[in-house]
Amino acid sequence: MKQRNPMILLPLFGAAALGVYFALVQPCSDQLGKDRKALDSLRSETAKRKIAIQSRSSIEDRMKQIEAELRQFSELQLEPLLESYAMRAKSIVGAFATEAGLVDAEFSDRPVRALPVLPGRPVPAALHARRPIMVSCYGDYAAIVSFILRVERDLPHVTLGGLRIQPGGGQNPMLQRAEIILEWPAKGAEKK
Amino acid sequence: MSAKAIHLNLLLESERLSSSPVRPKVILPVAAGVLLVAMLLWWVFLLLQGRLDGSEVANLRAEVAATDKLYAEACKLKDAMGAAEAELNQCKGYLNARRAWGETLAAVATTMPDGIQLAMIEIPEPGRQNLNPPPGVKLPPLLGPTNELEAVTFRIAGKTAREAYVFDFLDAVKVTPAFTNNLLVSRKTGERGEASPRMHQFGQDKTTDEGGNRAIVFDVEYLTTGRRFAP
Repeated sequence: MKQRNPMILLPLFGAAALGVYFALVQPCSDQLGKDRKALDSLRSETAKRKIAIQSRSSIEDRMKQIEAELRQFSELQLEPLLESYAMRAKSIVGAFATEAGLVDAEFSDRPVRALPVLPGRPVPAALHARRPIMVSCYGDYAAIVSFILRVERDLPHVTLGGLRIQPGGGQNPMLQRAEIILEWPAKGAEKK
Repeated sequence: MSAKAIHLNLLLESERLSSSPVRPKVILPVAAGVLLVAMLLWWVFLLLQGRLDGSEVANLRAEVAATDKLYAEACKLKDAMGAAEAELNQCKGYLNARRAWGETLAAVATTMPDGIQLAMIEIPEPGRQNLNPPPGVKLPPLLGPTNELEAVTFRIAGKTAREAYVFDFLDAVKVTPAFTNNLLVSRKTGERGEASPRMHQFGQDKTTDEGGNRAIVFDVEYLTTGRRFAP
């Protein structure tokens, strides 16, 4: 009886195995790889969204806190009086100057100075600035210092932005001429 | 006659079995068959895995789509908070940059020797801000200066009949807290910047008084740590 050679099955099985691999296994594996990448990306996206959505209430609480602090700060800002910041400043500190013994006090605007906005950091929702007002007056040195001390004590948000004291040029050698620049916080320019 | 062993081989070559228990003719086809079955099983496994993953991908996509609106609102809120924090930091920066001069100015009166006649006290106003880009550069103006630190100086000038009065005053400045809290009273050039104090003028006045005497004039400037507009 003639025996069949089992070796004939080797090329058949081998070809079939290669066929299954290239036609079925490899495409399936590639697709699985793509699905896994999509899955990883979707998992991280959903995790990120979950964190963002869950942190809403803490963000809202922090916003309320910030708004309250900004409201407090806005109460310190210099607002114009009859469209004049100098007039407003005079209404606030004019009496201080008189009580200190300063005379001929004149109030005038100085150029507004924007506050720093650093590159690479979030832009403020609204811009703030420094509003300097020059007080030109005459008085002896003690009166000038007394005025500045009073402003610093009663208006701690106002700061001395500049000063020039020199002889008043009159008969009285004690009389000095002072140019005192007081700086208030103020609203800044509108963002464009 | 010697007896030689006679070896008769009654089997044909093709009928001869290998003495080895592992016969390549059988093992190789079996191995190929096993490989085929393994490939098929692998394919089935990948199919099942793919179905599971596909189902999860679909679920996650639906979840992402369902949270689009809430997420957009959360992102908007976070951006708004960033801008609000930046605004608050700007305000805090202003408050932190305040500088009090009243005590220093009062100390000038108490430490200045009687023999000195003051001619000027000055805290110069900062230079004008220019937020515009350089000429030829097409960029919008800056929203504000990009540097938190603003230099501040204190300058005092006067005249006297004796140099010693000036030295007495300068020595008093070095040890009086009202000055040392505000001014850099003994910094040499090279130590993190320029010297402080810096004498702009110290010598005889060009003019003479009624008696023909020339006064000593001085003009000294002190640096400070500046104003830092940082929260």
